[in-house]
Amino acid sequence: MQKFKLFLIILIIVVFSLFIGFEIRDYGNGNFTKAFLTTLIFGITFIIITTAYYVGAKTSFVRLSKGKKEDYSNPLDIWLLSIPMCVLMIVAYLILQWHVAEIFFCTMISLSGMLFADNLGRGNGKWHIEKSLPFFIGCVVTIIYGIVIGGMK
Amino acid sequence: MIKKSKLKKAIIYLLNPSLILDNNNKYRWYFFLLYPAAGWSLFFLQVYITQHYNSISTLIKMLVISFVLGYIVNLFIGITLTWILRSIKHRLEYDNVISCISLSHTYMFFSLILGFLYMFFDPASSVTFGVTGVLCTLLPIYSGIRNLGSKHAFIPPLLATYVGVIMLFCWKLIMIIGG
Repeated sequence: MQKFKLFLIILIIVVFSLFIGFEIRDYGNGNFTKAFLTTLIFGITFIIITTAYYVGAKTSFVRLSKGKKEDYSNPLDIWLLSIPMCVLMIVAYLILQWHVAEIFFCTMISLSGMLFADNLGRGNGKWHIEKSLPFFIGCVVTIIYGIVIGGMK
Repeated sequence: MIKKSKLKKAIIYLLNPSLILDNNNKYRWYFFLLYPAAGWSLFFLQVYITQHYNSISTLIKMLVISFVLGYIVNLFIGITLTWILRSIKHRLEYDNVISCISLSHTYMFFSLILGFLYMFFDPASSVTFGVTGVLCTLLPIYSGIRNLGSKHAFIPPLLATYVGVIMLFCWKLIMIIGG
């Protein structure tokens, strides 16, 4: 099951990259390959950094927030948030003709960062940068990606 | 005058509506549903401004349709979500789920207010901020279902997808009817 989840998450990043590539090719000034590779690199890098940090932080210095989140301490479960983002992006792009795939990608990155931080205890007890770091990483990655991909539109 | 503690509690629930799912209080869901209805109207006000419609009757038509559909659709989503969650053995009340979905629209309000401010830089950005609003609305719903402790990791994302798809299609419907 874990392998399937990992496959699904990588597939979702590839689908995002494809759609953003098509969007930039058809409605922007850039070319498909550039947009595709940019999205793929940003997506995969963010997944690796956040997941590695989360696994390290969870086991070393931050306790999980109270509640029943133990079942979801697996980072792959948190990444499943990308399913609704990807499906909605496809629906918006193909059926509603709203060509804003990069918005879905950026929101997915930010919200995933927020969920990782929430699971590390963000918002509970005293504020620590260690707890909120995935959230900030998500914000920074989103801003940089937005600038890069915005330059291609 | 509203007590300070009540105000604080209201802000906490507005920012983290999934807390509603954790308690057994009774909520006046019909009152809470006015909140998403107003949010949808605000989005279509933004669409009206950016699409350069000139007729006041079109504006009124769009606002009324979006308000009514915002109310009905969120009620429908709340009822169906409760039914689905009950069928997978969660003890939930309809009013809790409907109120949670309604208050989840706080993030949409944030996004739309930012959209209005951003119009000074890019007048054609209403869909961008509206879409961000929908996606942010899904987060409290997603977190709320996750916090219920479902053993099935795929249930929260699938239900969030269901909610998001209905919202997007209804927005398109309002654009077709209102435009």
